[in-house]
Amino acid sequence: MSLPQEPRGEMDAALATYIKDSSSSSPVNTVLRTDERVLARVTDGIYRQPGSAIRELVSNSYDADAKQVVIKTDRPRFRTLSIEDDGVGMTPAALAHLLHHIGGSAKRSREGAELGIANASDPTRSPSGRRLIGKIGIGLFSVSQLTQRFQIITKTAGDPFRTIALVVLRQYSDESVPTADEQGEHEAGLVTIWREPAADADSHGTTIILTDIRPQTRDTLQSRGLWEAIDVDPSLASAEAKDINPPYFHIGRVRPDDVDLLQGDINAQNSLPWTRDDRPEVAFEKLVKAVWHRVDLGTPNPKLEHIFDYYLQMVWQLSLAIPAPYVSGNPYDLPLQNRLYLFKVPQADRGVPAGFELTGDETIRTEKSIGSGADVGSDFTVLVDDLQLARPLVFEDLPVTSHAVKKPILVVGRCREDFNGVPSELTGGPLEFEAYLMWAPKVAPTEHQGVLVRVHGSSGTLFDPTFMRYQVSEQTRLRQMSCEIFVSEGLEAALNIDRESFNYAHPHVVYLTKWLHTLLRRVATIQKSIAAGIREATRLAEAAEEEEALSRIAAQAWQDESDDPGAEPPPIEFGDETGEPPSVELGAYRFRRRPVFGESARRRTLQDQANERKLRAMVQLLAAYGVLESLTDQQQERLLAGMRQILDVSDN
Amino acid sequence: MCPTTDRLMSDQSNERDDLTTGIFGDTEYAQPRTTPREFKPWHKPRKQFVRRKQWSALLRRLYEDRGPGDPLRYLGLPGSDLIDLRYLHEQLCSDDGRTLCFLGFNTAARLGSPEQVEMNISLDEVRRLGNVDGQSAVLTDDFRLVGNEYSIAWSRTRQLGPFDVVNIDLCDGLASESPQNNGSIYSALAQLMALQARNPNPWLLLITTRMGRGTFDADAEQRLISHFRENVARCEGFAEACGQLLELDVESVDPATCSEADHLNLMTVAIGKWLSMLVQSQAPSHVELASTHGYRVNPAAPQEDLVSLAFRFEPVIVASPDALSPTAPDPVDECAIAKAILRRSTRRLDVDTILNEQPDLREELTAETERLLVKSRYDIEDYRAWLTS
Repeated sequence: MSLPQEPRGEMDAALATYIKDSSSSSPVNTVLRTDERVLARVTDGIYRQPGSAIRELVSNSYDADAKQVVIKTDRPRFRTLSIEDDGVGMTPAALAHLLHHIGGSAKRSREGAELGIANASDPTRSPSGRRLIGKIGIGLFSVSQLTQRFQIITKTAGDPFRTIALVVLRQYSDESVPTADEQGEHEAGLVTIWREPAADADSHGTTIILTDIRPQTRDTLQSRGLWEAIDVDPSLASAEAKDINPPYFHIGRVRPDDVDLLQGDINAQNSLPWTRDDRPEVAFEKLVKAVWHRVDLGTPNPKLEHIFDYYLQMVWQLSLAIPAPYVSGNPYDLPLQNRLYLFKVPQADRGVPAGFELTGDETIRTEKSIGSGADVGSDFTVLVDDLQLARPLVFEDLPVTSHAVKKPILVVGRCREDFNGVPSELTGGPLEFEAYLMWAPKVAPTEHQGVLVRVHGSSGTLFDPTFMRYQVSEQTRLRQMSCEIFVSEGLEAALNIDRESFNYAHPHVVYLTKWLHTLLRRVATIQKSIAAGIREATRLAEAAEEEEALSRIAAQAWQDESDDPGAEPPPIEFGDETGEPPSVELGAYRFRRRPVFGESARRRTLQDQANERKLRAMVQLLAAYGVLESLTDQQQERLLAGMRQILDVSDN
Repeated sequence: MCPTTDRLMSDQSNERDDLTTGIFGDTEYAQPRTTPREFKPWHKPRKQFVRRKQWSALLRRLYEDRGPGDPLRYLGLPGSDLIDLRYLHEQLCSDDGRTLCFLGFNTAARLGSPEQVEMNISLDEVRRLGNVDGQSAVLTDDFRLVGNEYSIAWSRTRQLGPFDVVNIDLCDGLASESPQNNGSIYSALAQLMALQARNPNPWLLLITTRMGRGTFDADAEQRLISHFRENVARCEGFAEACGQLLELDVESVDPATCSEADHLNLMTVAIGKWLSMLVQSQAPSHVELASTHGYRVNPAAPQEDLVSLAFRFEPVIVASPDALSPTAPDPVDECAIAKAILRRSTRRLDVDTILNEQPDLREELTAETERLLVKSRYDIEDYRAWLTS
C-alpha cells in the first residue's frame, strides 16, 4: 500500500487506517519519518562547554570562505563577545533560510548553491571549494550556550546594504512546547530584521555579537569557581581545597563587587607568557612553549586544567578543533632527519609498519607521498583577542627524559575502505583517512594523550585518552602516545549532532576503531623492540667498559709486580668437569666450572656474567702476587668459590 | 540530602532564594526593538569645521615627517555613529595606506541600549574599511575609569597606547567635574598623560569642553587657576603678556570678577599649564596650544561657551649636564610655554562668526557632513530642515 506524501496530519491518519486494515498477507510498507521537535530542542543548547559555541561559529565562518575570523571579548569581564569574519556573508534569502530552518541547513544541498552558501558544482563544498565542516545548520544557534540574545550583521559583496538581525532565543520546555503552527514548526525565538544602506558595497562578511552573556556562562568564562576555591579561608578549607593553587597562566579576574575593576596586585593582575608587544602568532607560540616549559620547571606532567584558567583552556581547545596550521610546522613537512624514528603502515594495512629514514631536506610528504590529510589552507586565520590560533602540537625539540628511547617514534599511515560488496545503505559509503601516531617519552600537556579525529580538518572531539576504548592494559605506553586521524571521506554521519562524540555503532567508527587498535598494538611492538635494542646496545657497551676497567686493574698489578711494562695477566678459564676448557691459551689458569660456580642449573643472568668477569680479574690479581701457587688445585677452587659467593652476596 | 547542621538549617530559606538569583541575567523575551536615528549636536557644520580645520589639519602636520607605514593610534570618546573616526580614516588612512588603530570609550552604547546596536553596526562598517588594525575597539566603559589603574579601561588603554592622538570630546566637559570625585576626568587624564609621556613621537591632545563662568566645579577651578597664578608670580614675561592680552587684575586673578573673555583665556591657560605639568613630571616635552576653536552652544552666551583646544606635545631628549653626577635637566621653559598658550588662546577662532561670514564654506561643510552622515547610514532628507530648526 502506498501512502499519501502530504500533509503530515492526513498522512498520519491514513497510516493509522492502513495499520488497522493490515494483516500478515497485506502488511503496510512505509518509511520512517523524523519529527521537527527534536530540532527545536537542539536550538536550546546541546553543548557542554561555552567554548563549543565559539568553535561552531568559527566553523560557520570557515564554511563561508572566511580568510580571517576575529573573536573579541572584554576578558576577564565577559560582558560581551563578538565574532567577525570576512566570509561571503548572507544574502537576505540566505538569512531568511537560516532563521526559518534551524537545523535544516541549506549547506550540502542544491538550495545552498542557490543561496550562495555552497559550491555551485559540489554542494559538499564551500563557494570557493573548501570541504564543509558544518552540516545541519545548528552552528549559529549554539550561541544559546552563551546567551539568549545576539545580533547578526551580515553583508555580501556587491550588496549596497547590510542586513541586521536582532535575535532573542526562547528557552525550550517540554511542558509548554512552543506554539506549534499548522506545519508543525516551533517558535525557537524572536527576531527583528532590517536592512541598512552600506557605503562599502564591496565588503563582505558576517559579524555575530553576543550580548547579555548568561550569568552562569560568564562565571565559567571568568573561572569564577576556581578563584572562589582558591580564595577560601585556609582555616575553613578542606584538605582537598587547600591543594588548589592559582593557575600558572591566567587572564586575571574582575572584582566580585565591581566588574569594571580587576582584582589583585597592580603588577600581577594576570599571568601570561606573552607581552602586549608580541604579535598574535608569536603570543600563541609562547603559550605553547610555556606548557612544554613547565616540564623543565618541575611539573613533569603538565595538565592544562591546572596550569591554565578556563579562558586559556578554551582558546587551546579551540586551536585544536579548528582547521588551523601547526604552531611549529606540519609533521609531514618537517625535515625530520635523524630526529624521530619513522615508520609507515603498509598500504591497505596488511603487515607491520616499515621503518624509513629521511636525509637532508627530505620530508615524510616528499618521500612517502602522504600528508594531504593534515593539510589546511594557509588562508584561514583565527584570532582570539591577543592570540592567533595554531594547532598546539609539537614534533621537534621535545624535552629529553630519562627514558631509554630518547627520540620520538612517528608512525604514519593511510587507509581507504570502500566496503565493496556491502550496500551503501548499510556501510554509510566509503571511508578514507590518513593518520600519524607519535610515541614520545612524554606527551605534554597530558590532555594531548589520546587520539584526535579530524573530519576535513576540524574536530569537536578533542583527544580521546581511551584511544576509542582500547581495552588492553598498557596504561603507561598509552600515556606516551598522541595520534591524529585525518578523515577525508566518510565518518561525518557518525559524528553526533554536537560534533563532540561519535556514534560507536556506525560502521565507519567500528572500522576506524579496529584500524587504530591494530596500529596501537603494532606501535607498542615497535616501541618495545626499539627500547630492547637500545638496552642491549647499552648493556654491551657497559660490559665492554667494565671489562676494560677490570683488565686495567689486573694489568697494572702484573706490570707492578713483574716490573715489566710488557707483562700481560694470564687468561683465566673455566672448563667442564674434566678440567679441560673448550680452548686453551698458553699460560692460562684453568679451573673446573662446577666447583667454583656450584650446581645451579639456572640461567646465567647479566649479573652472573658481570660477577664472573670480576672473579677473573681477582684471580689475575691473586696470580700476580703468587698467591695461587701456594695453594693446591682444590684449595684454589674453594678460594674462588668463596670469592664468587661474596660477589653474589653483595648483589643481593 | 540537605545539610543538617543548625547553622545551615537556619540559612535554608535564604539559600533557597539565592538559588534562583544569577541564573537569568537581564534578558527579557520580547521582540527586539529598533529606534529612530536622530541627528546629534556633532552633526552640525561647525563641528565639521573643527574636524577639518583643526583635527585633520593638525594630524596632517603631525604625519608630515612620518612614513606611511607609521600607524595612526587614536584614543577617543566617539558617538555611536563613529563619524570622527570615519572622517580621520578618510583623511589620513584610506589614501595613504596608513593603519588606523583606535580605542574608544562610549557609555551610551552600554549593553541592552538601542545605541549599542547602532555602535555595533558602525564598528562593523569602520573595522571593514581597510587599513584598520584588528585590535581596534570601542569599550562601553566610562572613560573616567582610565584614572583607576585597576580598571579594565586602563588595562586596555595601556595595552594599545601610547597614542598619536587623544581626542577627549566631552559633552559637559571638564567643567562640572569635581576633582575629589574618585574616577574623575582629571584623574583619567592624569593617568593617560603618564602613558602619553612614553610616546617617542610628537602627539596631539584634542579637548572639547564647555567653558564659562559658573560652569566649573569651584574646587577644580581654584586648583587649576593656582597654576596660572603660579606663572604670574614666577615669570615676568608671562605677567607682562597677561597685562597686554587680558583685562583682569594680574595681582589677584579672580575668576569671579574677571570678564567672560578673560575667564575663557584664564581657564584655557590653566588647563594647558596643568596638562603640561602632568607630562613634564614624566618626561620633558615641548607643549604648544596649536589651535583653539570655539562656538556657542547657548546662543545667548556672551562668549563662545564650547572650545576645542588642540595641544601638541613634542618629547624633548636632554641628557644631564654632568655625566657622572646626573641631575634632572630643565630643558623646558615653562614660562614661555604658558605665554604661548595665552597668546594662542586669545587668537581663538569663533567658528559661528566664520560660518556666518562665509556661506560658501558653510555650504561646503554642510555637504561634507551630509556625505559622512550617509556613510553612517543616516537618511539626510530632513538634515537641512533639522539644521535650521
